[in-house]
Amino acid sequence: MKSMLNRLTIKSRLIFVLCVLVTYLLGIQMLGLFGMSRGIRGLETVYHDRVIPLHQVGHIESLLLQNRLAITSALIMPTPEIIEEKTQLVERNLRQISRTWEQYMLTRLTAEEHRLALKLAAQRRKLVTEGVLPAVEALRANRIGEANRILVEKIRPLYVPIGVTIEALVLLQLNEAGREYNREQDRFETIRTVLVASIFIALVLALLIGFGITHAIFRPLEDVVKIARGVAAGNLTQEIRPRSQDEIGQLMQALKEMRDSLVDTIGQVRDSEAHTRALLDNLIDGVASVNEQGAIKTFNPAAEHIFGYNAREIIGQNISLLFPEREPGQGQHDDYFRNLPTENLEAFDAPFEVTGRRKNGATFPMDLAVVEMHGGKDRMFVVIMRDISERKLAEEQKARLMTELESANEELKSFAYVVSHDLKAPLRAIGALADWLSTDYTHVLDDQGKEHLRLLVSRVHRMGNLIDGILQYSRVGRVKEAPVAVDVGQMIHDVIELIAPPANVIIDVEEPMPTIVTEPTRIQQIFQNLLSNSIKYMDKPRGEIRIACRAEGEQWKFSVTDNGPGIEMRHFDRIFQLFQTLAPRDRIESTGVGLALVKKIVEMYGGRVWVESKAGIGSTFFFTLPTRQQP
Amino acid sequence: MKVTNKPILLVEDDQVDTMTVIRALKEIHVTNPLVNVENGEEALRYLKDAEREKPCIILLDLNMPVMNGIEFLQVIKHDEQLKRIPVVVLTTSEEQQDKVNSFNMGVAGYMAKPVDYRQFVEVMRSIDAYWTISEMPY
Repeated sequence: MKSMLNRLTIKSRLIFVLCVLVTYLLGIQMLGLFGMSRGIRGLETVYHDRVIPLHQVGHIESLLLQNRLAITSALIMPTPEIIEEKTQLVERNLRQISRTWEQYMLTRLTAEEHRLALKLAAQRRKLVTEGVLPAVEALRANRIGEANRILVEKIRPLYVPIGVTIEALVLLQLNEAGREYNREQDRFETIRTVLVASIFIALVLALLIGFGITHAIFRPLEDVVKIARGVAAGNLTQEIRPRSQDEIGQLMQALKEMRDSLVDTIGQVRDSEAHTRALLDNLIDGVASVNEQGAIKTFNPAAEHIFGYNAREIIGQNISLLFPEREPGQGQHDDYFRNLPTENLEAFDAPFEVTGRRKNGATFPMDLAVVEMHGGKDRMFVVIMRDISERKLAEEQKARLMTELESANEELKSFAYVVSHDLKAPLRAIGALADWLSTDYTHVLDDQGKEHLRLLVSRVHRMGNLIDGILQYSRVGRVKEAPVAVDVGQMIHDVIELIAPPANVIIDVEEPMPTIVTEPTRIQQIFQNLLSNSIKYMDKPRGEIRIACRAEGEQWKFSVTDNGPGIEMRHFDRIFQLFQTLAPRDRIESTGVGLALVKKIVEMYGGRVWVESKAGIGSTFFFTLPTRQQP
Repeated sequence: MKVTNKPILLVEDDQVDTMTVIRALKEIHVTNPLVNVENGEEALRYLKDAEREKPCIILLDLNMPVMNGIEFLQVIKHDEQLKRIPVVVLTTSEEQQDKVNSFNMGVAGYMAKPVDYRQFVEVMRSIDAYWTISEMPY
């Protein structure tokens, strides 16, 4: 029951109470109206039932008395005119009596009254029929004597009981009227009492309702106000328990939700703040926030570390403290901070390099970025500072290393140069001197001596070739040519012409050959080496060499196939190494540089070179080159 | 050589190379006198000496002590009197940069010294043949 009441809203409760009150007041009013109408009807009854019959009875008595007096007066002066006049009066009165009687009989009569009325009616009828009517007749017939006798003998005696009866009836009527009046009086008393009691009850009810409303509305409202004030004052942990489900309960619930959401939001804000703080505290970059005038507001640990200032001692100071005094010739960004007290800060996001000053006065290079913070009512700026002295140092080291490397490379280059000149010069001298010896002293030398000199010259040649090979090899990647569009087909033809293959070797070039943007000399070297190898090692009476090319994805795949002696698989790797040959040099003059050179060139372009071969049947050398020239 | 009475100036520090040139010239019957100096500085001294006859051609090695061939070229090619004397570079260097530098200095030819003496004779023969046909400034 209570919970059901709790579930009702205050609105419905108020409506309910008002309805009850209105119904109650209406009831009281109805009761009063009913009592009043009852009273009025009672008074009406008194009037109709008692006053009117009393009057009627009186009227009848007076008429009867008038008749008696009329007859008497007619007898005193029995002129025809008077007789006529009086008899007519008597008849008129009789008619009126009967009419009044009929009316009287219609009124509400008590049993006693009814009985007396019947008695009166009988007595009246007897008086009229035995006294009045015969007397009138006698008068009309001018029998005065008779009429007189009737008057004396009949009318007078007969009238006496009527008078008694009427008197009794009137008394009765008066008593009855008095009783009814008293009854009505009592009823009024009762109604008044009831009304007074009702008003009293209404007052009590009003008091009770007022108390109830106070209890149900104002007390909880005050509680709500107290809780709301508490929340506003920051007491977020107080217990809020909605006691009902009415409006105040809902208000309480809403307050609780508001408080919970506030607690959530505050929690999130605190989390976010903690997150930001952790981020700031663990950032490698120094971060400070400054206001428009350049006063430092926050200073993170990294900034402390960079500048050597404690956050406590630097906060509130101007940020220009972190930068050295301006010297002529320094960048304008230093001016920026020097001018802070007079000029407003402007944000610039792109970091730039400035000189910072540590607490101990040491200056150091740093990257600086200033970002404007939006949101607060004052303009704030975040200053991000990164100590780049180590980076600078590293850069310098790198630059030094690069210089060293370059000089080392330069040395290597000059080494190649030295090899080309200083190694070849004495070799050439040896070659020349040996030649002159064999020419100038041919008559002194025997055959063996001549053979030795010939071998000496051939070895000089071989060494010359080796040196040339090394030079060629070292030039690849070192000496750059401008890449141009090379028609490979045309270039292969040029190479074949240069090599001038013997008549027993047929070289077949499959069309079409692509055009590649590259260094022409290198491509030429590739084909020159591969083709001259094929020709040099050809062991068949009829040599066949076939050059082909097809596109494979992003690369061109070239192949040079011959029907020469072939290569055993175990040598597939060795042949691409520098100075490695498979045949004795005395039999086939070879430096062992050619394929190594091809491999170096192809790999420099991002390609691959390999061989497929069967001993005795022939070999195919493959190499790939990217279709797009690398930058 | 078209002019047979004028000397050939050989700027060469290597003794055997000098012998090779002398021998090759003799073998192909070039009769011009040969003046041999060992570096660019000596060559300049010779050329600036009014007493000495100006050469009809200069055979120049590049790699030399004191003053190398390129430095020598830089001097004489800026000298009004000397810049018209044809200079043929005779060198072992096949460096692209040396070739570029030499031709930038307006050399008349660039010959690589072959290891084989016989081939060297052929080179000398070609030079002689060319400068026998070609007109000379004086």
